[in-house]
Amino acid sequence: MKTNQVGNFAQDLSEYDEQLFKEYKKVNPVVGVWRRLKKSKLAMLGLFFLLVLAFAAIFADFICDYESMAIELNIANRLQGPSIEHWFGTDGQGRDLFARVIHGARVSLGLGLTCTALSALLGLILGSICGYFGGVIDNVIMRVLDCVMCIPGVLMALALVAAMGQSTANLIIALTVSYIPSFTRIVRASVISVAGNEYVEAARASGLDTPRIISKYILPNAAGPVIVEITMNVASIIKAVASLSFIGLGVVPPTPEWGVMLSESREFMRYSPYLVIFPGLAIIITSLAFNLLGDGLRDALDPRLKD
Amino acid sequence: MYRYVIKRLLLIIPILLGVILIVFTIMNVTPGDPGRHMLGMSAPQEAVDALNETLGYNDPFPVRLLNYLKNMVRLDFGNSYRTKQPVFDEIINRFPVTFKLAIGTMILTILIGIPLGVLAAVRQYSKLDMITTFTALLLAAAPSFWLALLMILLFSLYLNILPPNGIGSFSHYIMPMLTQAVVYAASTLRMTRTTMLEAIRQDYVRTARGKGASEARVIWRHAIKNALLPVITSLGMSFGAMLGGTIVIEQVFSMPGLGSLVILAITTKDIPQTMAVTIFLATLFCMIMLVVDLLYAFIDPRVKTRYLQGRLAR
Repeated sequence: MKTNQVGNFAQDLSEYDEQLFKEYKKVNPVVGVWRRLKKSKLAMLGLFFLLVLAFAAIFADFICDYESMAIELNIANRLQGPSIEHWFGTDGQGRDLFARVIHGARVSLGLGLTCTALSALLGLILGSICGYFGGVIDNVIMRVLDCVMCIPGVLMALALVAAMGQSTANLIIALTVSYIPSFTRIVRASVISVAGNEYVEAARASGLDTPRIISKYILPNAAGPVIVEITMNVASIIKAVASLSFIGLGVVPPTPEWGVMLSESREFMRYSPYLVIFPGLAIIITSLAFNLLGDGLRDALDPRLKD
Repeated sequence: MYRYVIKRLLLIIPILLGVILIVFTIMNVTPGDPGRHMLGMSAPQEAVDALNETLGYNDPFPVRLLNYLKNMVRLDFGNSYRTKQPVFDEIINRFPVTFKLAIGTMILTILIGIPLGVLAAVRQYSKLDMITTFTALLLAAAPSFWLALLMILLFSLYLNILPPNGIGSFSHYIMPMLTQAVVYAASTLRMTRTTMLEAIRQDYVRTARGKGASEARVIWRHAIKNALLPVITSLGMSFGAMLGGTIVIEQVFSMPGLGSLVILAITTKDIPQTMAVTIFLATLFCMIMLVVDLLYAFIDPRVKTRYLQGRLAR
């Protein structure tokens, strides 16, 4: 009888646990954020644009052949306006503009995401070190980054690219370096705001090693602003790539990059304005998509707005 | 207050040293040498070597750095490799162009961005709010050089009312200012709207209304003061960025400002010129940030008291 009661109690307890677990699953942060994000029409519009762009970037080779349509010169066919055959017309070298814009998505998204990922990763490491340890390390790292921030605008990227030679790898290094400070600052600020909490103290008291405390307890709770910054930065880096390519220090022609295409369009723009319009629209839509998604994420991740 | 200003001015020195170190290293340890750039690809190797020797480029890197710093302390920033003139001559010649451009852009940005942002916030969800916010979203996503191309297309090539490049008269500045201002105004508008939305929900705004202050007075005197603080920081940073970051715009409109000097200096491996422009721009940037911080004190009495008590946490 007695044992049976205990057994019942244990069963109750495990049922209760299961219920708690279900409760917990219900408020899984990712699901919650997604649910709130779904409510924002603009964020969904951004996500839709991004999916279209990602589709174009991934399947670019199936949509239009790279070599024959986006690279090969075809002078006889040059500067034809938009038509059924060439949706966006042809450029000064007779290449199909639609094919180049589509393949440009691959270049721009690729560069934007790579640079963002690299600078976010480095910013995450530096920022958590600064925020968690504080003191001398924090001071040294932050002062160095202050210096980098004082080097104006794209000058840093320009100097690196011009000095190391023009190549895609150097472009990635240059942009990554110039975007590290802003990431580090954001990560540092959110780590500081989280690191003082009791559960971090508790984790430390239970003997967890520092890398695990940072990665398991601090970063997940500090992730909100970082995710927003990452999203926004992709847009900004894509624009920076286009700007650098436009002034001739970024991606090297004949690679179909939007900035390169705009720069090539300048001499023909009076009579072929579509050469200016389509690549520009591509840049706008991409950066708009990331901005919209970033705005939506900011609202969805804001704890004050939780449902 | 004065002690704070002096402290901040002194803090600029280590930052500048850091900037100098970073840019000097980039310019000096990377491949390519100034002799080859100055004499061209066809010049004989001996001539290039001799020129590098006279420029001091063959010394080991630490020696070059020390020499540069030593000369810098004596305010000798060297001569440009390209023009053979003292580097600051070129900067002083070109600075007015960039400065006029930045000031004009700034004024336009403030005139467009802040009032519209406030209006959009006050009439949240109205038609005006929807239209301005959406336009701002679009414009903030557009790269400025693309807007510049569209403006050239419209105003210079089709309507033929504005010159597409050069700096001869005021009309040359209209398009560059406008393109930049539109982009900056878009982000200013969005920021003002957000901070203003927060401000008009605060208690002191309700208090002001309760006192019977007119709606205009509540918005333009009480609410706006608090809403503008973050906007001012971002405007200050934009102004700093504009002074050095007009690179692309100056390139599109072929304006001989600091931005085009930066490109010219970097691509020709003109080390003294690059260093001088960087130092000049970084100093300006630090000064502007200091002015922005001081502006805070004028707007926010809470900040002012902290300065006066000399307990500013840094």
